[in-house]
Amino acid sequence: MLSFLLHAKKISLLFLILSILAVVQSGCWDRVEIEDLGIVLGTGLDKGEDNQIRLIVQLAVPTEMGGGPQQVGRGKKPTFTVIGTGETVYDALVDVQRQFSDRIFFGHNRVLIIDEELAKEGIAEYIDFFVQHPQPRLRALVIVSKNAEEALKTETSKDLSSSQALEEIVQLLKSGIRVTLKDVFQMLRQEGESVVLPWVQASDNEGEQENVQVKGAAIFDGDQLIGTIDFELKKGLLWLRDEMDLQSISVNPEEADGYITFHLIRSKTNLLPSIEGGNWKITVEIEQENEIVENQTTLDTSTEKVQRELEKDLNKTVEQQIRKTLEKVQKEMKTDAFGFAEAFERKYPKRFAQEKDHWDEIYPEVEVEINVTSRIRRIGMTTNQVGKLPKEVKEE
Amino acid sequence: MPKPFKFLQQKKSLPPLLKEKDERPLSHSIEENEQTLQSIYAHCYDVVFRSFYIGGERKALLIYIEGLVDVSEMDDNMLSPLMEASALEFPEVVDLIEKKVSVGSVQEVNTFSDCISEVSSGNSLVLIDGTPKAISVGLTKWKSRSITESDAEVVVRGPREGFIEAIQVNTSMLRRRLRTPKLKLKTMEIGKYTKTQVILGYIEGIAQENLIKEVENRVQRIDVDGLIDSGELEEFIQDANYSPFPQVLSTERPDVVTANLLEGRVILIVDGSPFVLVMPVTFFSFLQIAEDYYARFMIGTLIRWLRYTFLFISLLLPSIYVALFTFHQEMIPTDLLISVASAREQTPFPALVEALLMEVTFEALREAGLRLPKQVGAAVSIVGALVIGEAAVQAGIVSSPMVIVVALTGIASFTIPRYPVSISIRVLRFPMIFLAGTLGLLGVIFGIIAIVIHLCTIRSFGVPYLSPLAPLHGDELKDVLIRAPWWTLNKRPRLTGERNTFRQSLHQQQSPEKRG
Repeated sequence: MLSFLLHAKKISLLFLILSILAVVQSGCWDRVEIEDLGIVLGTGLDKGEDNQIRLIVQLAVPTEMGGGPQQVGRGKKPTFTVIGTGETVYDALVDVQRQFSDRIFFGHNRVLIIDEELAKEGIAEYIDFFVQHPQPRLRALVIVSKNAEEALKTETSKDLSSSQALEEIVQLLKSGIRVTLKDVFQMLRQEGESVVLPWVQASDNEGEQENVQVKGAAIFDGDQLIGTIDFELKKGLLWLRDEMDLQSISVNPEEADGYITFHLIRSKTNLLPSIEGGNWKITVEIEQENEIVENQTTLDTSTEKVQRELEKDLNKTVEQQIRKTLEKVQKEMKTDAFGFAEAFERKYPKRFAQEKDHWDEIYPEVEVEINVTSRIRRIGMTTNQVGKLPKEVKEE
Repeated sequence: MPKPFKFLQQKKSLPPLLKEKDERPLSHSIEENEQTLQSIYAHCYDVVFRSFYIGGERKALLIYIEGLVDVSEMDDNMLSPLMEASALEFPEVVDLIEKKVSVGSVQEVNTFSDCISEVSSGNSLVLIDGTPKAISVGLTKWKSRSITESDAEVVVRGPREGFIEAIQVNTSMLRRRLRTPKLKLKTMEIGKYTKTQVILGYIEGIAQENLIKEVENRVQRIDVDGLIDSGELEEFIQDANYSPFPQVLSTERPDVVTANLLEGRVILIVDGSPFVLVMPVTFFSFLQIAEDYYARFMIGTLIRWLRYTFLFISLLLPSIYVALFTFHQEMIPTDLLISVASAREQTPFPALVEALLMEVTFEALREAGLRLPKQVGAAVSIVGALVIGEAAVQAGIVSSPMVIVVALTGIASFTIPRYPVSISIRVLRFPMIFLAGTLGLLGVIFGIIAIVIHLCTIRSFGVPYLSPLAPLHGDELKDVLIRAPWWTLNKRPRLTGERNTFRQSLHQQQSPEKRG
């Protein structure tokens, strides 16, 4: 009994020593002080020479970004761009690391900008690194740009880095399609669906404030970029993808001169697929609520009749926007950027599996019916335009 | 016990120190008795021997200690009646005392050891020639501090008086609150030299017999030469001495003691200490204060949660800071990361060293502020705030985020209402920081698990330390997770009040009587 106790004592002592050693010996090996981190804010992927990859990395210079003691800043630029080349993305990253003293840290990468040239050849193989490696976050936004390097090097007026500016434009203002790395993988996985990414450009006009701005959307077929559409066409895309937000719709009513502008409060789009014989059809049901923010006409918007008329005009305008986009994307580009494939697959899984191989042929022929239901929820503070005399206001 | 702690182990062959008693009986001759007592009290200038004659005939001797006896009362009610009495009228001592001494507390004493203990505790002793007996007369009166508000446990709403050093005053405060003969106060004596009075208190019919017996046994087995404060006693009787957490509650407030007695707990009052010990307790007793129960229940609940939140902040904030900023930078919001990185750009130490450095400095400042005379105390806070706070950051020795973290931790540790637990949490913070600096969040979780396991193993006089949370007893959580309204707290805590479950009638929420 006593010897057993002694034994237990020895074991517990051994255990104590071992656990202390475990902490002391193994600890710290992956410890990095934050001042030794090269914090990546944005990444660009570009085509290099000889089929190589150019990795453009935008790093933060914390002391210039503020927050620390005042005397530290030296009035330099708040970001720092390093370019590396290699066969693969990681090769290029190692090249970047060679040129930079701090450990490159991808944990805070906010945007991934893909150059148009590279995107045309397909993005799947390059994006793989960003999932395989544990550091980059899947919530980073993916953007296509005409010139990735320029977009990253742009100095913006308010934000500290162009990455931050891009993230905020794309994410907070919601004026574009918001696609994260995670979304890209899901789109790539989805049979028949195309990737749609926001398309940005560094403003190149002479004399203009240097900035980055969203120009439209980049449409992919599979993982290859096949074209871009501008803002006007992008509206239709957003309606169909149920991503419409922060939208103004101006309507020119038949009964009066001038425009009435609506602000979109909320909208909901439903894609209802149906197959009748060999006839594939999508019914687009859109319900939207608007408020009047501007009235250039003489119409008295407080009357129900005018409102009904305006709602009809709204329906027509939205339908036109969608038709225009369909013309370009469905008929010309022949790529499914709207998720039609997914809609069909959900409703007719067996039929879709059979016809999967012919989807490319079916898609451009899919008939689209558009039903828009608009409602005017608020008419603003006045019922008619302030500048007009009451007698000028049309009485119905 | 592992070898490094061997020196803490007691040697078994230590001889019992004490309790050799002079059991000799008093003799018939007063001269003989006087000689013996004189020799016992040699070189004690404050012990007064006064000879006098009862009724001018029978020799008597008065012994008392100066300063412990109310002299004028003694003159009026004992000395003069005795001296005027006729000795022949009262041949028996008992008669004499019964008829002549107009003092409440009188006792007969037979042995020398009893004589000594009576004199030592401040009673006056009268020896009369021809009887082997002495009379002890309770006329004690000495100076003591007046009752003041407790400094360590301040409340906004609730009774303000606190215990003082004099044990009689303390028991009187309790007796005033619990006017029932069921409140039992058993007296014991500890210490060969100090002969400190220790009172065991409980309410008969609520406290469990075996608990009372266990506490009494533990106290009576203590064999020391002196007991100065209840803190010493706590260490002798508590269950897990190698734990940073206290298992006995010490409080200065009579209302807290009363409430605990009513929940079936047992108290120990030590003469000379204003801190009364309450046992058994759980971890949560240390996070609850009297005012929780006096304030409205919603406020009580919210304040309780504030306290729980800050308990965790106090324990974990520096370690989480260190872990996140040295291992898990991806978990920090980008803007915060950049701003901290910029603040740390010029600091020379790694975050771990910085955290340890600042925490130690803060603890030193706190300790210095506590021990210094009040007049100098202000200087410490100035030095602390200016030098450590500002100058160190400006000189680039520490980063300002670290100063903020340390300050927040400091404030958090002051929200823990009981000082002993607040100290334990402070102590545990350091290993936690070290674990965070070596193993990151993994280390922090290891630390938390170790602490929780430890807390689960402790028992205070048989009551699991984390009860009613572990072992879980759902009904009682309403006085732990929240402070339920009084009219729902119908039962006493299960583990201490099982003998007498209900403390009040059910459905006590009063409302206007319904009219038929």
